Amino acid sequence: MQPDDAIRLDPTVARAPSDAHRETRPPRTRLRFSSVLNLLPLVPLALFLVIALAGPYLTPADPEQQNLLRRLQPPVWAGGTWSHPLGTDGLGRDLLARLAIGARFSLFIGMIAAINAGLVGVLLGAFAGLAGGWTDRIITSFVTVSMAIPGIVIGIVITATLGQGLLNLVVILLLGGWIIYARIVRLQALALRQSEFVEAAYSLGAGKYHVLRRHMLPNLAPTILVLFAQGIAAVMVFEATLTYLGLGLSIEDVTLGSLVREGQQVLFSAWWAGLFPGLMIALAIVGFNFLADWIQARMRIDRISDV
Amino acid sequence: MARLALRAMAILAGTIFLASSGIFFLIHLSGDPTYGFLPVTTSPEVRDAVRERLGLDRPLVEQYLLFLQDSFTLDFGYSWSMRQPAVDAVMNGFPKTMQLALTGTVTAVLLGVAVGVVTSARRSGPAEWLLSATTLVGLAIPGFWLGTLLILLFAVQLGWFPSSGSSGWRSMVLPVVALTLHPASMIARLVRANMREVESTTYIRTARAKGLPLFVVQWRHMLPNAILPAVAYVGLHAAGLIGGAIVIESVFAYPGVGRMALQAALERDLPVIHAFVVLSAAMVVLINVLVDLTAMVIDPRLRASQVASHAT
Repeated sequence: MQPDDAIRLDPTVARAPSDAHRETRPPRTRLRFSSVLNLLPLVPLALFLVIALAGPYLTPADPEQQNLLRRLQPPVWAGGTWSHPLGTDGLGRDLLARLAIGARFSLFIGMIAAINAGLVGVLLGAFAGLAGGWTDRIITSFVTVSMAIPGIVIGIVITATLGQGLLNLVVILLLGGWIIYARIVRLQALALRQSEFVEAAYSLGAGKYHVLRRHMLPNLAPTILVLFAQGIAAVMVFEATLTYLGLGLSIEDVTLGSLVREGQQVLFSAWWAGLFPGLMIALAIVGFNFLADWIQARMRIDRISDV
Repeated sequence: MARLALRAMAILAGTIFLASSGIFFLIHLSGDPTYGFLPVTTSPEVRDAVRERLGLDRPLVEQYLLFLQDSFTLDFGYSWSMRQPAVDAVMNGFPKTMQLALTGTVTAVLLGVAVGVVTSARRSGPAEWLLSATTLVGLAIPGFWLGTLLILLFAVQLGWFPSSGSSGWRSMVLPVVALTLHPASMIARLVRANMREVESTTYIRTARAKGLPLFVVQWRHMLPNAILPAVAYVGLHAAGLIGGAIVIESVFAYPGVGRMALQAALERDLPVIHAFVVLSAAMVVLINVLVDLTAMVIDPRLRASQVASHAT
């Protein structure tokens, strides 16, 4: 036996076979960035996080304090004052302060929902892909059927039956968000199950649990991480859409979606009240998608696409 | 063709079953449904009478089976808030919503394919940069916020298009633009990436070598081979496209089914919600069938094997 062969049969060399098709990976189609300046893609996310997490230090204003004498003040560069850098809303509340707490709440909901959706989706997908056979067929049918129900429809149904509330919102986001994890993790798990190194591990006498822990999970982990970063962005858009429509959360809760809705009500007299919350949402989407691309480039894994 | 129809029917039946079971479960999870539409002060006798009339006093299993039967026969009963059969209330708005969703989808495909093909010939330079920037913006902006911006610019500032309603093609322009930008960006990126891959094949080199103009090579030889992922994208995201139309309706006060369903959700009008879910799932399956047929027209291999585009 040549030393070369020994290495190839060694079940602990888990990542070697994936090198082969790395050369032929399809070109990127989604949110691409130049890898020249490696950390540049993380700037939008950093900006979003600074506003979301350091809000109280950015402005001393109270996000809930109303002042009808100072309502609809423009931003500082459009004739406003420094006491309200981004202006005020229809009730005279400081927009920057509201943006900060709204972004923080949206981020919080997004993280919670993405984690839950990820858990459900990854478990179902990995189970289907690893078990194969009838288990796979049943789960795949379930996924196919679930894909025919628009997420917004799920939101309408749950609001109609269970009413509004944080828990209900998270349930809506979970039901709308798990599918993408399940589909992609299943495909990866299927490919892994048929790969040579898994076969080799089995033929060398490794047990199911060992293969799962030593070969499957390490190979699935980067994919799951990327899906998670993309998932936070997707869930945050979904949440903003739902709260904009008045579904899921009650009116008093401040998220980026509800800020856009409030802004739209005073759209004709104060463009800033609707513009900045939307920009924050866009910043979050770009930020987390860039993060996903950054992880992909860093870990040199195949591009993940749902097409 | 028979297999395709059979598959669509199976998915449709499964979707109606799943959605109806989910709604039934949720309705009974949330307690006595009569509290949703009768005042709290209603006397117990009246409440019982209403429960009996709606069949809410029968055993749960019987109610469930009747509920499923109603779902498949499209008999959802009377709307609790609108004094008309629930299915009529939903069907009144559905054509408008589908008009919006289909116009948006077709526009997105045409625009995305055109942009993807035209920019695929240029390796780098301003065109490439512009496309990347535009599609990045398109992917990052949520539809409802884009709608708000469009109203601000084109309805309030410039006054070119109305900000709401549905009178003539002018009131369709802004909703369709708001609906189109995201899928068009995605399709443009997909098409361009796949055109690049097809470009290096030998049959394209042959087509170029025999002197065909670039235009013909691109549209006749490359595009049919490069467009399938974009078609598959439309199939996979059919639910998202319908959902997007429902959201955009609210932004532009467009009289489709989405606004009616939102109203019904807040009034807990469960028959209307039930009808709405079943019919919107049916629309998604219908779009998927259209997508599969389109894929077959484009790709002869699919006609031969009859593999559905969303088989994965």
